[in-house]
Amino acid sequence: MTTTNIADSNFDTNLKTVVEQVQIGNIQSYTYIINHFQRQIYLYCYYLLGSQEEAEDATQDIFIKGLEHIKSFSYTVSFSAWLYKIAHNHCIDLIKKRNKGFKFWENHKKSYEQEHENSHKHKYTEIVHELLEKLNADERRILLLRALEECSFDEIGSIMDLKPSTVRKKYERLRKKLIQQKNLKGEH
Amino acid sequence: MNNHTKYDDNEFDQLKSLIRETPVKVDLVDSTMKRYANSDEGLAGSGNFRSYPLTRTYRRTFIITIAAIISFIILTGSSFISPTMASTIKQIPGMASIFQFASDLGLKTADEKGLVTKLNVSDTHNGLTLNVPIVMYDGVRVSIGIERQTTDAKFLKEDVSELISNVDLSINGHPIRSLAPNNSNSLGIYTFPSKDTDSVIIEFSDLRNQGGKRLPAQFDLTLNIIVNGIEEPFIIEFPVKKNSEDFLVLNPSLSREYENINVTITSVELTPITTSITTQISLPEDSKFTLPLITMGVDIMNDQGHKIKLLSGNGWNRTNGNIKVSDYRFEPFESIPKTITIKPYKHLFDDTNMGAFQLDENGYPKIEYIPELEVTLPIK
Repeated sequence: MTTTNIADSNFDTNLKTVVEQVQIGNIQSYTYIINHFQRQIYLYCYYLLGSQEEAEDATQDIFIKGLEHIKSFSYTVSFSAWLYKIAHNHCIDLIKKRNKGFKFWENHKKSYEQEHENSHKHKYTEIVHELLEKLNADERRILLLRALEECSFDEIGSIMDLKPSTVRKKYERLRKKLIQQKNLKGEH
Repeated sequence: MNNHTKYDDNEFDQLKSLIRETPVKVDLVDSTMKRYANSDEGLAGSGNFRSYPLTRTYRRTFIITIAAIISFIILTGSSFISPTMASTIKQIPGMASIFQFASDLGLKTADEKGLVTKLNVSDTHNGLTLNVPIVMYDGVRVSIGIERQTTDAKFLKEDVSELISNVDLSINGHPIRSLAPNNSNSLGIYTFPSKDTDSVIIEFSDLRNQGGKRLPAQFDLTLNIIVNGIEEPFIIEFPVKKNSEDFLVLNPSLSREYENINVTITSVELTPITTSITTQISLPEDSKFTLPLITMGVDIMNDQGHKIKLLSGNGWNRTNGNIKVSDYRFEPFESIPKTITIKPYKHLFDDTNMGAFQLDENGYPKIEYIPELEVTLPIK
């Protein structure tokens, strides 16, 4: 892979050029974009969907959708926000499909538990999953966007079709929830 | 001490770090491009890729199984404060400067020697005032004291560190992230307890040794503080100026190699307030950081063998990368030593409980120095 040789430090400067290159048909340049965003997009999907396999498929689907629609991208929002909007909608679609009358989280827990049956290896992500379980769907998405990309409330608003002030309120609420949770845990 | 049960800002930040730093290797570039190429869109410029079956050749991602990293983050993160120090702080009655009773020899020294800027800037909303009485900047770190003033009982139920739900910083009007390198590495804001529950110290450093921009010697800092239950943010703006001159800045680029681990000391900076060290650990090109190398750290000693205390640190390595650059900020030496010795160590892990640290009788993780990687630098 030649793309991995490109220094990350130039990424923001290069991004605009890369996007333009892809828009005029230099598809190979898109590997820059995947390379840079894949880890965060994967984790976003993984913590929302709950399974590594689904997250891998979703991440690929999101990047392919991005590539298919990149011609329609313009700098009214940041490229990152645009990509996360695709990720946001894609994960919502997947969850809707999976729900079919079941509560998402119960379903998630099931698939998560199945994946982790006979295995206590994933202690790291278990802790994160446990905390995310205390939050509702919007709160989880907001926390992930803040944690993975340090998105501003404005950016999150544009990704999730919410008012920035609503995002901020939800962020405060989720933080409180996690504090309460931590305090409860800490007391015994 | 209550610190372990408090989910303060710092711990909330640590949770975000946990998410961000999930030890996962992701390489979906080739598989994604291959799927795209095999899709209608890729072949003919139109169509729907989802009509194609997934080509899953092998697992592209892998979550590393390390519970230890969590402990690592918590230990090296900012809320860590030794039980002895916490009880010492509690025993001391009020009346003192915020920095004087920080669990940090550097800030105490700064306060005693007047290497601080005294201020009186504040913002008030709904009967709560947040005041910044003191700031210190030694070229390595910026430490800001914040205290609350209120008579409203509802703002006194929690410690001020718990009352504050978020702090955003701007330097000369630009968000602090504009100083960060252009990768996923970001500047952390650390919070430290101070003399009482009405005050807190927040602290940050630039990432100039990790590819980010250097903080200027003088700048305007804006705090945008969100307080639980108050809609309006508290905006506090004040000038910050470097208060002390460096004793010493070295860029030794001294390396040691042992069993394919290369440790290079890239920067050493001594100020009257902080000892700052940057290391680069390189593994062979096709290797990744796994246990125990992922939690490697360094101790620093003077020529008398006196060890100084780690205050905070941050490291970053690129996904799938074989190079990790870490900044460590320690307390200052009491006097400039003749030499300093940097002693890399690894943690010892429990064989029976994968990923768990072996703990000593005080509950601290056991470490093992790697003498082959040790570096001694002449200072005087």
